[in-house]
Amino acid sequence: MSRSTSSTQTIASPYRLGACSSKEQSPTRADWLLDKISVLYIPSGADHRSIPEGTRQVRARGEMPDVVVLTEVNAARLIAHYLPPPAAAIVPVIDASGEDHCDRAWRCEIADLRIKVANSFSLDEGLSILKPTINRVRALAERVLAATDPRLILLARLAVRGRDMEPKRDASSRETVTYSDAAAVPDALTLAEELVNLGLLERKFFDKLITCPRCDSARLCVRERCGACHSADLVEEAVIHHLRCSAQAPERDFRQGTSLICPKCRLHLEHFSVDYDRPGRVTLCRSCGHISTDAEVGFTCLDCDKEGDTEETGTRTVWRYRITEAGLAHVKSGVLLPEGLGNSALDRLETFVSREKAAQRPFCVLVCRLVNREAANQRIWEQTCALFGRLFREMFTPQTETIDAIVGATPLFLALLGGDHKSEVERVLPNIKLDLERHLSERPCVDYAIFGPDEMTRILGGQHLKGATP
Amino acid sequence: MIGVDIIVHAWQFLVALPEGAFIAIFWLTILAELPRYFVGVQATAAAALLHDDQPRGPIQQVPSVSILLVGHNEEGSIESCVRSLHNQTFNQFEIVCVDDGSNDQTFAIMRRLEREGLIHTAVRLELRGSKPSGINLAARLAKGDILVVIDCDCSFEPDAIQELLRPIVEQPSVAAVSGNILVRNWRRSIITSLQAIEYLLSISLGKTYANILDQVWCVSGAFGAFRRDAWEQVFGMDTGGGEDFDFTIRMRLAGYKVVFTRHSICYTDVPETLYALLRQRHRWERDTFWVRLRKYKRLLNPLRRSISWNDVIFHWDFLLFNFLPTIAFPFYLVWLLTRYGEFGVLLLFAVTLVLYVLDFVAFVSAVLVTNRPVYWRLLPFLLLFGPFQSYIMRLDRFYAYATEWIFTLSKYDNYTPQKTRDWTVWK
Repeated sequence: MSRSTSSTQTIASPYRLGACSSKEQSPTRADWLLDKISVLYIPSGADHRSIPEGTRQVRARGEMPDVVVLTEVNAARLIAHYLPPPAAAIVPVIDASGEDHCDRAWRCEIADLRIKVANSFSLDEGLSILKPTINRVRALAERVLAATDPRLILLARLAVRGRDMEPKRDASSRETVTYSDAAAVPDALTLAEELVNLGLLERKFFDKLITCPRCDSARLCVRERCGACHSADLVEEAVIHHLRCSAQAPERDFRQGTSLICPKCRLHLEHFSVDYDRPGRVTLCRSCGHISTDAEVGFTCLDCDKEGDTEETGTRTVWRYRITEAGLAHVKSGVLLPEGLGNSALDRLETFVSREKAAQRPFCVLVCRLVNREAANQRIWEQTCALFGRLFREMFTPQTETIDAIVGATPLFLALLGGDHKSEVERVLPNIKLDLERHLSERPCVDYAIFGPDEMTRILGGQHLKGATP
Repeated sequence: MIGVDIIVHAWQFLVALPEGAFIAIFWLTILAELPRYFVGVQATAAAALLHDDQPRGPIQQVPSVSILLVGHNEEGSIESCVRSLHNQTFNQFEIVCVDDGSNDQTFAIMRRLEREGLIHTAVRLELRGSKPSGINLAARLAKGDILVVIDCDCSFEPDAIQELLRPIVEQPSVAAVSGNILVRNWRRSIITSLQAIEYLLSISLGKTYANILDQVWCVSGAFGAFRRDAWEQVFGMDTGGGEDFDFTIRMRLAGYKVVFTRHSICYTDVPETLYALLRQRHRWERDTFWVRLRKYKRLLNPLRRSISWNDVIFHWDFLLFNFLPTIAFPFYLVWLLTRYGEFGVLLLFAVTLVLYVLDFVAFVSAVLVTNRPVYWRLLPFLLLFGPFQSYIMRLDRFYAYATEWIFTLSKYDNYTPQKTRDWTVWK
């Protein structure tokens, strides 16, 4: 029975972390009790009655526990005092403070599990739940637990927990989402993006947020408002059509007490669909009297008070991050991560130039810069950039490396054309321009430039890609 | 050579006819055609050409103006119509659009134009009501003191709205103004070219004449302006076909002055095939019959106190010079062919020759009055215009009148939804 349960857990998990999987396939309780689980109670240890059977309490500082149990509110802040940074981020944590933290400010974000009562029974249950994680922690290489590279720490943290780096809704944050892993690994989001560039994490869509065009906050109050005066004091009314005389107007023109009386022919409207119809609805603004079918949707930014139309807003995609097979392999082996590989557009360009020069082949780089000269609204501009980027990538063969980068606020698209002379690309540039721009309903302003091998310093040493973010 | 022989024979025959026989043979032409050509049309042309009594240039102190656009499945035309309006020399107006139960992209386009600030109000009705009810709703939503009703498939000369408003602004007694409608797609087919000539003659020239005689009785639903107080006085448009005609009649009967301005030019598309044209004209002619001879047949009675001579003249004009000749025409044809046999055909040809001359004079007058030299290119089509009007369109009109008279076919016209038609008072 327990074998089949454990097997299901293993299959359900998208992760396979080498050694621990073999342990998970023989997970009888008797077996794993042989090796007692070491528990670190923070801040003040635990009395023997609340220690579950089959566990032992870690008392010496520097000894690596299997699990950390927080017995008091705010004890999470002390973890760093008891454990070195990698272990503090990797070892699973149980919040056993017993507090129901309704207030998010006090909630222990680092905890993997919360139990309401810190007795031996609850802890035992908690440990059972965390057992796969504990097994994976035990299977980690020593050098991972001693790593100083926060990217590897983050990778290991996700690997042992067998889950994605998942965003959570958080109204107290300007972004309206936070990553709980950031409580254990500072700057986790930036590190995750770096790991994505290295191919060790992959992005999975979580949500697309609407953001303020002025301050980029996602905390927007969105509501319907009048298209003429922007008041939110709107009321919806039916339109009534008196079939006999063709009078057609909002219901208030017909309404007299409980009766409907035609304002044109003064007849009582009695039978719906026989002598009158309700063919539609209108929205009436009680402030200015403007009538329309649909109210406009506007926003107010809760952080900077900007008001505007939702079409002005920008968007920001929020991702969850999932560890890849390569990432799991890295965690399993504990090999140090490469520094800066694919980290920036500049690095990739330098790598390309070095490679082509070493191969003694002709090469050049086509650079397209999209300029928002007509100050299109944020959303349309983002859509234009995204579509242009896709067309740009599809323009070249799959072997051609392309780079999308943002320099300042300007989107830059580079095609690294190995084996092509600059003059050849210049010859076909009009066709490239035509193919890139003809699919866009509103032609964007695009600056094109081609750099040959002798001009690479203008890109590499110049300002073109300084501060570029992929 | 045969054609020349026929013409020579016809001419010799006409010259040789004594006066009495001439009248006996050509009584229909003399009664129905000549008065219109010579008395009205040429007088109008002369009046219009010799002294242009309508001052041009910017108009002063314009009251607030609302343009009402009501459309059903007008995705192909609504945007160009709105953009054309915004290119007007006078553009201090609001545009109120009502989508009357379209099942295409009409409302999406309206919404986009509203967001762009080109339309002030856009309202969608899920159920199609009919054009009159849509216009009534648009008028209710509009805030202007002058309401301009426009068809979605129209486009305009740059000063069209300004010239349309001029009579209302400058003459307080005027409550409604009918604009000049010309054919936009006249190059598309022979049928559209023939209709272009017809519009020139019947609207540009005919209504200019009617305006001089204070006989403008129809402000077209495609392009007209109304004073709001007069609009409300007659409670807007009514259920039933020919709503624009009916509305103008009610306005005139309420004592308001209605005028035509030839300087305000709007262009519209007309049916491109004979079948489509005949279908359209069946509907128009049935509506005309219903409005004139059923709904307002009391206007034929000159002895009624509430009716002025102007009203009576208008209705008897229709009866004598339109309705009766149309009804008599098939019988006249049969009589002529029975009495004269093959020679009857020759006689008809002779009549056609005479009418060519009249058509040419009228056409020249119309183009001069309209002041659009491009329409000179329609001149070759004048050879077809006379026979087309005399035989095809007149027989079609005869069919429409007859079926309306006997079967009240307008009751089954799907131009308005069944629910609405059920309430129309069919007499």
